Amino acid sequence: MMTRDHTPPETTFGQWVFRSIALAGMTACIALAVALLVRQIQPSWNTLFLIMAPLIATAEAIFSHHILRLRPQRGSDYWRFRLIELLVLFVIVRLGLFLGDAPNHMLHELAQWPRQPLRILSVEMFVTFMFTLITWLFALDAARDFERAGMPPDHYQDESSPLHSIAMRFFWGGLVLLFLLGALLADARTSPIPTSPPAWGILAILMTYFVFGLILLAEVHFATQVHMWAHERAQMMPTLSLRWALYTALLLTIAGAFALLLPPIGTNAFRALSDMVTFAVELVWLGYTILFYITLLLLFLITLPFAWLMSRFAESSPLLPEAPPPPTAFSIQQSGGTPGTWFDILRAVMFWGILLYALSTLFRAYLADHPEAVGAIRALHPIAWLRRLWHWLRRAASTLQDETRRLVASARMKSPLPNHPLPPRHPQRRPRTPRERIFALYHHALRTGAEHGVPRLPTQTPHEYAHAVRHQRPSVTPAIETITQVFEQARYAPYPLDETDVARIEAALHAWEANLQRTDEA
Amino acid sequence: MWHIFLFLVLALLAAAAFFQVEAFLSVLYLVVLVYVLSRLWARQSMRALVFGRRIPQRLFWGEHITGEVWLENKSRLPIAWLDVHESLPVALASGESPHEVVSLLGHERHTITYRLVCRKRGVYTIGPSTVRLGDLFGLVPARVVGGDVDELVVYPRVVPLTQLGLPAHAPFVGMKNRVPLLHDPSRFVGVRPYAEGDPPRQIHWPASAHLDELMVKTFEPTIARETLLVLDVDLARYAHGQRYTAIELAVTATASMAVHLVQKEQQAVGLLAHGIDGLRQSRELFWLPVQSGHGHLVHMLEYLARIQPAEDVSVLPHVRRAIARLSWGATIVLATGDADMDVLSHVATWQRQGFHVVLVMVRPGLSVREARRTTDILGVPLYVVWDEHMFALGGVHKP
Repeated sequence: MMTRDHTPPETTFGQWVFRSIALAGMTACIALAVALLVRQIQPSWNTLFLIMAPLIATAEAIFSHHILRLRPQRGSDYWRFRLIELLVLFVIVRLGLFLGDAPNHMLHELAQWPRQPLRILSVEMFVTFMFTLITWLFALDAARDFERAGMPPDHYQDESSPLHSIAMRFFWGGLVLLFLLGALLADARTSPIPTSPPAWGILAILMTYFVFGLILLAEVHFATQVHMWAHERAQMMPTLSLRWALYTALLLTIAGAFALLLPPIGTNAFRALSDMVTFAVELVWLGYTILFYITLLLLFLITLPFAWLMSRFAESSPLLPEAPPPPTAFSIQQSGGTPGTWFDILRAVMFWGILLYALSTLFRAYLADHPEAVGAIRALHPIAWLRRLWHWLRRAASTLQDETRRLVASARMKSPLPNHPLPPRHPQRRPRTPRERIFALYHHALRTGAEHGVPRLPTQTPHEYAHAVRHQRPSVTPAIETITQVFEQARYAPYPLDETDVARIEAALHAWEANLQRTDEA
Repeated sequence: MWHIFLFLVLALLAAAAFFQVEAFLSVLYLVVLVYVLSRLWARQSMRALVFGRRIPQRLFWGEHITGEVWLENKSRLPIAWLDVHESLPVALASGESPHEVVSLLGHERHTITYRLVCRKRGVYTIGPSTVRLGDLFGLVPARVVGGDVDELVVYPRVVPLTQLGLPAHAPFVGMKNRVPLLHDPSRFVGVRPYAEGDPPRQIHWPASAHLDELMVKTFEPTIARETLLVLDVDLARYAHGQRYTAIELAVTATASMAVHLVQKEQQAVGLLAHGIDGLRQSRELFWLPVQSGHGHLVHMLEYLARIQPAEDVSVLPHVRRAIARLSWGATIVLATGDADMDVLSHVATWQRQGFHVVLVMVRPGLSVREARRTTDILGVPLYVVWDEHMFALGGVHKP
C-alpha cells in the first residue's frame, strides 16, 4: 500500500521537537566541555549556569524562529524584535549568574550595583553572554535550516542545501568540542592538582555529541528526501520512516560498538603518527613565532627614522610646555569626600527605580512579541489561580471604591441613599450609527484576538491581519474574513450601512470568539 | 558531503595524535565506521538489486493493459531506500508515470504496476526505469541505475468499412471480365457445358462421361485478386488545419481495408507508403509485396503503426517500382487527402497499364468536385472518407 500525497509535507511538530532535542543535546555537550574548562581555569565562576545558558539560548532561538514564521516581521519591526530578545537573554544571563550563590553574597553584590554599575558587566558575565550569544546565533541558523529542510528543493536553489549546512555546523561544533576537551586534558596533565574529568566522561561527551549529530543528519536527510519525493509526486511506502529510523539506529549501534571495541592508542603506528603530528604542530608554531618576530623587526625598521626625527624635534623644541607638578595631598582632599547616607539611599532608589522600570518595559515588550509564551504561562495552574485571585481582588476593590464614593456622596447631600447606581467614572460615548457600531465591534474583535494569542501588529492592515489569522488559526478563517469585509465596507464604502451589516458582523464576532475559545482549549 | 566527513576524520586523527586522548580515537572509529558502512551498504544494495519490466510488445488500438516493474533484493541485507521511476510515453500513460519510494527487506520482491491505454497508434519507448538509491545520512552520493528500454507497437485503429463509408462487399476485388483473356490452369474452379470454340484440351472427360455431355474445365481468370494499398502521408496533400487527424484517418482506412481484404476476402494484399519511420526516425519507404496470410497482415499493421507523416514524402514516384511486380488486372487503392493533377495523371497511367484503380480521398478540400469529374471520365471509383463513424455521409460511389 503506497501513499501518494501531492502536497509537500510541512515540518511537523514532532520533527521540530526531535530536532530541538538533538540540537540541545549537542549544545549541552559543548557547554559541558566549556564548563569543565572554565572550572579548571577559573574555579570561582558559575559553571552550572554556563551549561544552562546555551540551552536557554537554543530554546529561545527555536521559539523565536517559530514565532517569526507564524507572524513574519520586516524592517525595523524585525530588528526591534531581535533586540528585545537579546536584551532579555542578557538579563537572564545576568540573573542566572547568581544561580547557586548564597543569599548573603547575592544581596551584597546587588547592594554594590548602585555605587558601581559597571559591576553588572563582569568578565564572567561577558564570557557567559558571548557564549550564549554564539549559541543563539548558531541555533537560529540551525532553525532556519530545519525549516528549509521542509521546503521544496527549488526554494533554496541559490543557497547550499540544508543538509550541507547542518553537516558543516556539525563539523565545526565537533572541532570546537575536540579543541575544548583537548585543551582541558592538556591543562590537566600539566596541573599539579588532578582535576580532569574521568576518561569515560570525556568519551560520553564526545559520543553523545557525535551520535546526536549523526542522528540529526539522518533525520534531516530523510526530511529533505521526503520533500523532494513529494515534490516529484512519488508514492512513498508508509513504513519508510520507521525503517529509516530503525536502520539508522542499527547502523549507529554497530558502528558505536565496534568503535568502543577497537584497540585504542598504544600501537606503534599510532605513536609514530602522534610524533609526526606533534612535530608538525611544533613546526607550525616555530614558523608562526619566526613570522611574528620578522614582522616586529620590519615595524621597528619602518618606524626607526620617524622615532629618530621625533627625538631630534623633542630635544630642540623650546615651546613644549613643562610637565605639570605632581598632585599634592591637599588637592586630593579638596576634590572628593564621602557623600552622606542620604545620597546613597537616593542613588540606590534612583538606580533600582530606573532598572526595574527598564526591566518591566523590556519584559512587557518581550511578552507582547511572544503571546504564545503568555498563553503557556497563563495555562499553568498556579499562575491561573493567581490571575483569578488578582481579578477577584480588583473587582472587590472596585466595588468597594464605588460603594465608598456612593456613601460619601449621599452623606454630603444628607439625603436618603439613591437606589440607582453611579455612572461610570469614565463615561464613553456609545456608538450610534451602524458605521460606528461596526467600528466598535471590529475593535472588540481585535481585542479578543489579542487575548487569545493573535494580536494585530501596528504595521498590519486589516486584510494582512486576516491573512495572518488564516495562517495561524485556520478554523476561524470564515469569521475573521466576514468581520474584515464588513469593517472595510464601513471604513471605505461611500454608501450608508444598515442593521443587516451590523447583524452580520455581530454573528461573525460570536463565531470568532467561540472558535478562538475552542482552539485555545484544544 | 563526503569532503566534510573527510575533514572531520583528519581533524579527529590530528587531535587524537596531538592530545593523545583515547576517547578521540573512539570517536574517530565511530565516524569512519559510519562512513565506510554507509558506503559499503549502498554498494551492496546496488549489487543485490535486480529489476525488470513485464509488458506486452504488440497491442491493438483501444486496448487497456497493465505493465509491471518488478524489483528484487537478492541479498540478505535490506535495501534502505529505493527511488524507482518508470518513464512512460505521454500518449499512452493513464495518469502519472509510476514513481515509488520503497524499502526492501532481505530477499524481498516488490512489484509496481501501472496502466496503459493505447489511444494512439505508433511505436513507443517504454522506459528506461531509473532506480536511485543511497545511504541513510546523505554521506554517499546517491547512485542512479537505468534499466532497459522496451518498444511497444500500437497497431492502427481498425473499423468496419461501412463505418468509413466504403462498400463492404469486396470493393477492391480485381476487375470482373466476362471473357477472360487468359486462364490460370492451376486454379481449377469447376466445369461447364462445352461451347463452340473451347479448346479440346480443356474438355473434362470424366465429367463428360458421367453427364453424357461434353463438359469443359473452367479456371480462375488470370486477372489476379491482388490489391496494392498505397498510402500517401505527404502533409502537403492534406487540408490545412486538419492534416494530422486526416492522416490518422487515412491510416485507419488503409488498415481497415487491409484487414477486410485479408481476413474476409482472403485476398493477397500489398502495402506501399513513404514517410518517417517512428522507430528509426528517418525517411523510409514502407513496401510489402503482395501476399496473403495472417502473418503478412500483422506485418502490414506494424508498418502502418510505424509510419509518421512528413513534408515532401510523396509516395507516387515509388508506385511505379511496386506495380512492376503486380499481376495484370490487380487493384491499386490509393488513399490520399487531395487528388491534384499529379495524382490524377498517375491514376490514369496505372489504369492504362491495366490495373484497376480505386481512389480513396480522406477529408478532401474543395478539390473533390474537380477530382470526381475527372475520375468519372476515367472510370475510376472514388470514395470519400470523412470520419470513422459517419458511414451514412460517407463515400459516394459513382461507377
